[in-house]
Amino acid sequence: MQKLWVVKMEFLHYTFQSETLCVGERIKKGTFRPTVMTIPYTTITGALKTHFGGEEIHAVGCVESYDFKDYLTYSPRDRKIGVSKIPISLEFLVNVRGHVYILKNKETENLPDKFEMRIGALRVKGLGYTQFIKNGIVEVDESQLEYGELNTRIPLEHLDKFLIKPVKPVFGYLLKPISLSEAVYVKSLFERSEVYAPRFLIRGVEHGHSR
Amino acid sequence: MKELKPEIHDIGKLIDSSIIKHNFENYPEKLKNVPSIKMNPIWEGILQHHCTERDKEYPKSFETFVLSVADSVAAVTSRHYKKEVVGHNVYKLWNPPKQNIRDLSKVIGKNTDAPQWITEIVEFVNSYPDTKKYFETFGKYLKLRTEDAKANITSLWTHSKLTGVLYRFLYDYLEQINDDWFQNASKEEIKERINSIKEETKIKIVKIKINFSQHPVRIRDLNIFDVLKEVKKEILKEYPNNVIFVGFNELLLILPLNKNLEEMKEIVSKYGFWFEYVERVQNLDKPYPDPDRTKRKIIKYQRILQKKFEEALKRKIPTIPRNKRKEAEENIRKSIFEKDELVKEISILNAEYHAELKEGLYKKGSIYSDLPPQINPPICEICQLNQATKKWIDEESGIVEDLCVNCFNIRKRGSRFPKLDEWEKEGANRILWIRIGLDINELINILEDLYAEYLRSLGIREPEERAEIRFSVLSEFDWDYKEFLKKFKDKILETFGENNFQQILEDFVAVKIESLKNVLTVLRIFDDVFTKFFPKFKEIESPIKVGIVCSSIKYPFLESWRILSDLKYDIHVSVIGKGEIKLNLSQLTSFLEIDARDKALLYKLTAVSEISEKLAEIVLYDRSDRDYRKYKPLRDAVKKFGFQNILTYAKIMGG
Repeated sequence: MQKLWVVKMEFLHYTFQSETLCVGERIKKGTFRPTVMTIPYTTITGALKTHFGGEEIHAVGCVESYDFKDYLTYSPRDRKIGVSKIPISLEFLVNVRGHVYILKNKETENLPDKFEMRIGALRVKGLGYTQFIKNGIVEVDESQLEYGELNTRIPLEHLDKFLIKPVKPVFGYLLKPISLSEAVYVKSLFERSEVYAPRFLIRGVEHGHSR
Repeated sequence: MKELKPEIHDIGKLIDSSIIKHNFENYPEKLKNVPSIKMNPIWEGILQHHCTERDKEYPKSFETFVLSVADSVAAVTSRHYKKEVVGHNVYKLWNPPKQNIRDLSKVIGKNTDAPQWITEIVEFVNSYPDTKKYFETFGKYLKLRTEDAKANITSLWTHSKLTGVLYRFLYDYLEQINDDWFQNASKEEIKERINSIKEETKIKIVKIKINFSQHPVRIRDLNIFDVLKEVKKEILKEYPNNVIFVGFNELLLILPLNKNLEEMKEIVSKYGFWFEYVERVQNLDKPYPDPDRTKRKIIKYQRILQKKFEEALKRKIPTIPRNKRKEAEENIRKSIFEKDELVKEISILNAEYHAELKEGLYKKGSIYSDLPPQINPPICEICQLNQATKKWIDEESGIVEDLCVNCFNIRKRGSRFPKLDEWEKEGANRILWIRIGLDINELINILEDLYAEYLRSLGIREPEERAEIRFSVLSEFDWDYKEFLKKFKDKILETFGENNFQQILEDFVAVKIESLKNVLTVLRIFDDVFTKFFPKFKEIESPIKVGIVCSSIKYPFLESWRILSDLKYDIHVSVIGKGEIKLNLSQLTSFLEIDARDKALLYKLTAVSEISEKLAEIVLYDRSDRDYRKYKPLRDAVKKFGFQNILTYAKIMGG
């Protein structure tokens, strides 16, 4: 049966700048922790929820450019036993510029045009201080989807909110908090998946077509 | 199935065709003192594998009928471009001979019209040998003689092997025809049936790429490459008549329409691997090797446009006043990305691509083991796709890692790099990780261009249209590529010695070095061996890339692997803490010939760059600097290779 309606979505488009940003990759080996090169759904949505409050916030992001990678070595302290562990080298990006797209709904439509918050890992060490500036609103309907490689990470349960239709998926897991102290890993679509999706979620396209 | 040994069907091509036709139908003709044919299934295959007007003999059984189909599908081309012989020697597109040789005897180094040679061949077939013996006895000649002297780009060796695979596949796949039909059918009817089978039979050409989610964090995790080899072996065992080409982690298969790829899932996912696939339904008479060719061509044309854009910028922008450059850049962008003739081509290909995807003629996807919708922590730290149920405790540091059963078992296999510990204990300073990578899509693009160039040189019309790269050319290339890897490895081993060398994989080795200058030694070896095997790639582009990471022995392997696993430049040298060199292969020889004999000067430049790289650049061009004149060779090199490459070079040479 032919569909009688076309799904339409609106997204708030923010550009962001961050002097130092680390979105910790889970690979560890205990002593080295690289950074993810995109802004996963869980990272940005979690940060927005903590900053503004609210339940129905859904956002994804991507990194457009950065100057270089740098490393921070520190020795995390095990609070239970009161001693420092072996030093960890942490990778982070310097002078990062990127984009964040927030699903427009009652909770998000009045978000400020400009705001600052910390995102990513090691915020207590001063990393992740980020300024967001609203660039406009992007309208997308199903007929405008483009084909290409996904530029972000997003749980499967939220694909519909961003009109993403996977063709050749690359799967992984993202950590999803289920209470203040507990979290589970949820199956997610990772960058480089081939998808039909709004233009802004396709790797390599220019951003900034907002009204 | 009668054992007609399809691989042996073209043995007659080792005989001068002016004496005996390669299907032996005129044997012994005027020859005297030669043995007579003792009929067996191999002879039936040889005699009956053609069905053309030129030949008297034709298929008279289902077996020879299938062989005839397999032979033409395996052929390098379905169209004969030239009416006359081009050459009996193999014209390797990547390493062409100085000239095409028409005399078969000269090519294989045997008197191919001599009765002794013909006797040897006839007696061999009379003995009803097995295929292994055939390749042992005649392999060296099969490698020298082209499959088709009118389109001489692959060897008889490759064609024979491929015909064998296709014969066995088609024997099971095609509907059986009983012997009564062959007894009553005319040659014309059989020929028609062969043609209609080739035109109407649909097959699936599938390319799969095996991926692993495991990130090799420790050297020990390189065991996944052993596992990858095992997975490939298992696939070959399960699909002996379907696999046409095997690359590092890619396989090309020919499958019946009803064959489901889910069946392969079991093999691949056993170790936590997953695979992506592209498949295309194709006619048997058009078996291009690349089911993803539309997408590949789109990417190829997009790259050409990008290159045109960059070249136009380089050419035009410096002549435009600064305040008008942005506008000029935009105009150049529009003229290329909107008006170039390739843009139309890309949009046609794009429409074709999406239509085929929609119609299901072309499919792509990825197949994983059954991944649960959610996993309770901890998750495996290596693959991050399974719950971690095992703990790995590092004996030395005491670090504990949470691993899943798959990754735990892979790591437990032991180290692939036993010498690393010794080197660490010896207090070795630096290590070189050297990896060679091959991009299959780029390879097909480049071979297509080279083939078109060759056809053009033979005076063939519409060479681009005809330059199809089929399975046989890829197999032929694979054979040379493996030889090249071996030669490169042997040379490195010879130069650095057994104690300082460790092979990890076929295309991945490690070397303990004393001096940074050894980086250039490795590049020289690579340049020499590469030029011998693939001189044509140096003239245009190369699908083969080399990555060298020079680091302290304690540097995290994960970081080195990140560079080496995704090689983006023909030559990518990363000297950790010093800088990088990124070159095209066409630049390599002249880069290694840079005139930089004055060590003190290099040392000075390096020392300045440690304060500021910009300052070092200024020093190089500062006319008031007392060494300005001495810097000339370096300034010339900067013009050619860029400042970053030269600075890293200076740091390497300066120690």
